[in-house]
Amino acid sequence: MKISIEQIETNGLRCPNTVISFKNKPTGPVINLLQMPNGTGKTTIIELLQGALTGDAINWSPTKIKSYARKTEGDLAVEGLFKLTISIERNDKHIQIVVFQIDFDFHHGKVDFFTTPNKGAGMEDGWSPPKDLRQYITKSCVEVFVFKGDKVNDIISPEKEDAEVTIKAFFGIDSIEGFVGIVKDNFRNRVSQTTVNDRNVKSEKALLKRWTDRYILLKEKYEEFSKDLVNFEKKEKDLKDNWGDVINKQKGANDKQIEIESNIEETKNQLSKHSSLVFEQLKNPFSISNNLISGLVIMKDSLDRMKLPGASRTFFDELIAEDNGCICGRELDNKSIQKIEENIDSYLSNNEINIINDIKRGITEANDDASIVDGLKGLFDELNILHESHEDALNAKSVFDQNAKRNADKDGSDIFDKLTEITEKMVRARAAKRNLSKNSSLSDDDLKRPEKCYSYIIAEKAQDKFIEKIGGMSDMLKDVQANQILQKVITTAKDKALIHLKDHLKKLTNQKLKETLSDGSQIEVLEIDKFVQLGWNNIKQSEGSGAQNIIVAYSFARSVLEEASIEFPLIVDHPVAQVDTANRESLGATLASMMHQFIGFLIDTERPGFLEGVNSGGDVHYISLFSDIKGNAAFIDSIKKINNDETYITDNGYLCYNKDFFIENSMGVGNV
Amino acid sequence: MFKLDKNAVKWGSALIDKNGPMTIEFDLYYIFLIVGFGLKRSQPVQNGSIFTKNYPKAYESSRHKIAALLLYTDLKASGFEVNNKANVKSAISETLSSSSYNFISDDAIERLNGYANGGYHAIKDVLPSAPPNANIFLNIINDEFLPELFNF
Repeated sequence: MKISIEQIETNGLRCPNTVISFKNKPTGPVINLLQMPNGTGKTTIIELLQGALTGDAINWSPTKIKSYARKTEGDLAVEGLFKLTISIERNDKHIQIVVFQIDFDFHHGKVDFFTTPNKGAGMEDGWSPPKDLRQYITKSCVEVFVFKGDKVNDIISPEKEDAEVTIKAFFGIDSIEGFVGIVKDNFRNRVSQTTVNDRNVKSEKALLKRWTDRYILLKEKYEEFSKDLVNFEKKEKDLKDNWGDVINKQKGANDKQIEIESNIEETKNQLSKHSSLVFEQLKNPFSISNNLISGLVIMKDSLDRMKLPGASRTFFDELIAEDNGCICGRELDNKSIQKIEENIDSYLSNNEINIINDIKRGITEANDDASIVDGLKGLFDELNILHESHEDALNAKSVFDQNAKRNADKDGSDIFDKLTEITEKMVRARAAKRNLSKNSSLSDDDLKRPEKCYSYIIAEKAQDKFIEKIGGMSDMLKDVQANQILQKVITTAKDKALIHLKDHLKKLTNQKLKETLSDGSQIEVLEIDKFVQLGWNNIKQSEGSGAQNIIVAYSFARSVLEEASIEFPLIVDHPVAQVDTANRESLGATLASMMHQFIGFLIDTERPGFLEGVNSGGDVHYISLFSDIKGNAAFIDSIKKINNDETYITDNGYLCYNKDFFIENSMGVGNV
Repeated sequence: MFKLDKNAVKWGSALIDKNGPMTIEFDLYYIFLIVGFGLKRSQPVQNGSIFTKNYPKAYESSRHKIAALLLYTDLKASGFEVNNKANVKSAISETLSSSSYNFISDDAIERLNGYANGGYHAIKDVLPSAPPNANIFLNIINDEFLPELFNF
């Protein structure tokens, strides 16, 4: 199934009233590049697109709805419209056109949502896409192919769980988890409602109640911190942007900041790579000390002198089992067999001898390798140096920030303080989340003290233990066992499916990386778990270069979609903002191979290098959109020279599909 | 069953990070273990938290080496000579188990847990609270502990 974005229509919203048509072809990819001056509503369009496709707009709050209203000379629009038209091509090549429409009532903060599930058919109330598409356009699924904000980094960030969330959503694993939760809850309710008059059962039930209350409390806390964290992240992003603006105003500060931050990233990467290398080497305990090796060599001499009795134990085992009498011809009576069995344990089995031989081999290898201990020492020395370099880079950043704060005006200085505050809050929220979801075993003592438990995962385990116990004490033992088996079967199947999917997606992503990255690019996916772990030759690294990170994120998204046998457009806000100019060209050239339809929202600072790259890479559709305001006078003058067929003028904006206009008129940050 | 004292798990929780060199609890256990071995320091685990039954995959190739260190340290800690064939043979029968994936018996794993706990206490004596991340922790282990290990 291939889904393409055909058209977006907007009216009365925080972006110009317009109808934007995107290109796609029956075969081969098309790159759609849309440029808009800053403040024209790029983010609005992407949010509305997500809200329409997922149907999420139906649940938007009145404040959020009102935030999309167009403001003209201080007055808010009364109503608005957003219409998204998509095409769905199935295997039989039949193309279905589906339209999602959001009608805004800004006055009351309400929306009416409509779907036209087939071109020519009437509009239906609510969100009703074709059934076979529904599972792929949930909120989590759409986030796979719509890249905005820090999405690229979120996939590779250990602080986020974006990779796993994506896989679970796309392949229905989260539905299975939801089902297990329902089974558990129902059974817990049943057990807690049993009426058994035994005093012991009563006391266990009272404890179960305390554990259930504890679980609910801790889970609520966890959800609260998760919600806080999402808000903090949003605020942090805005504050970072604002702080960036403050820095931009200080002469030379922007370049200095870029230099310092790239130095931090570089030293952090080197440190992270190297510490993994050190730890890998440390996993060979024989590399710790020469003294240890000398001692082990002496022990090995004793092992050598023991003349390990080869297959003796096997010989005696077989002698008894075959029952053909002794090797000397005598019959083996019960007394002889008993005697052999008593002594047989004093002989080493073949397997034990294999272990001893492995030990001896390990000692010999360590003794023969003259550099094993010095090698580890050298790696540690280098770790120390890298650690100091990273500390220096962090200190430089701290000095820079303090200077920039001193040179800023009061508002700028406040932004910095707020940013520092929000960063600290994020650290605390993450730590709280980690503690609230820790997993460890429970002792009998622990089970008696629910109030001493601070993890909802452990509290849930405790509840399960009590349910099992109470079930055993009442007449529900069989039900408890059946319930446990049911849960285990579903959970095991789900876990195995998830492991298999992650492993398979790792291979697919790596295949795509090989196809897309230039030869010699030392980056691959080492593991997909909660996030995509990058590295090279089994040595982990926290991230790649800006371009590598983007290609990893796109390749992962493509792999997920491919595995689900579905094609979506790749929709990206700022496709190369984090990529240096030198690498933009090659990334631009590879975009065409990524998806059948690419829609990139580009700003002026991203153009150098990137435009040359996309031009050489494929069929590019250039779109410029801007408002009819004084600040855009230069663009308005320029657009008047363009062929009318490629220009669309509305009551408050201009839309242009002309390539030369796009190339000659750079829009974005410079047009705030 | 590999066990760590609950306080040890709490102490080192910030060191385990999916994106750092130490990604699983066994990594922490392993550092404690080599320090416990190297200082011949063993302490029974009172309030243990079981975190794995078998060696994780990343330690599969170290199983026989850890078994060797247990043999070696046990012999040294008991005051027996490692060049005495009878001592070594008796230590082998108390330690190795061919039927276990871990190469050592359940009793031997309990002794291993004791050394790991001893290592934890030795580290905690120097660092009452854990460093903020595993990079710094590894540097401290190198500076403060590695030169002192296996000097017997």
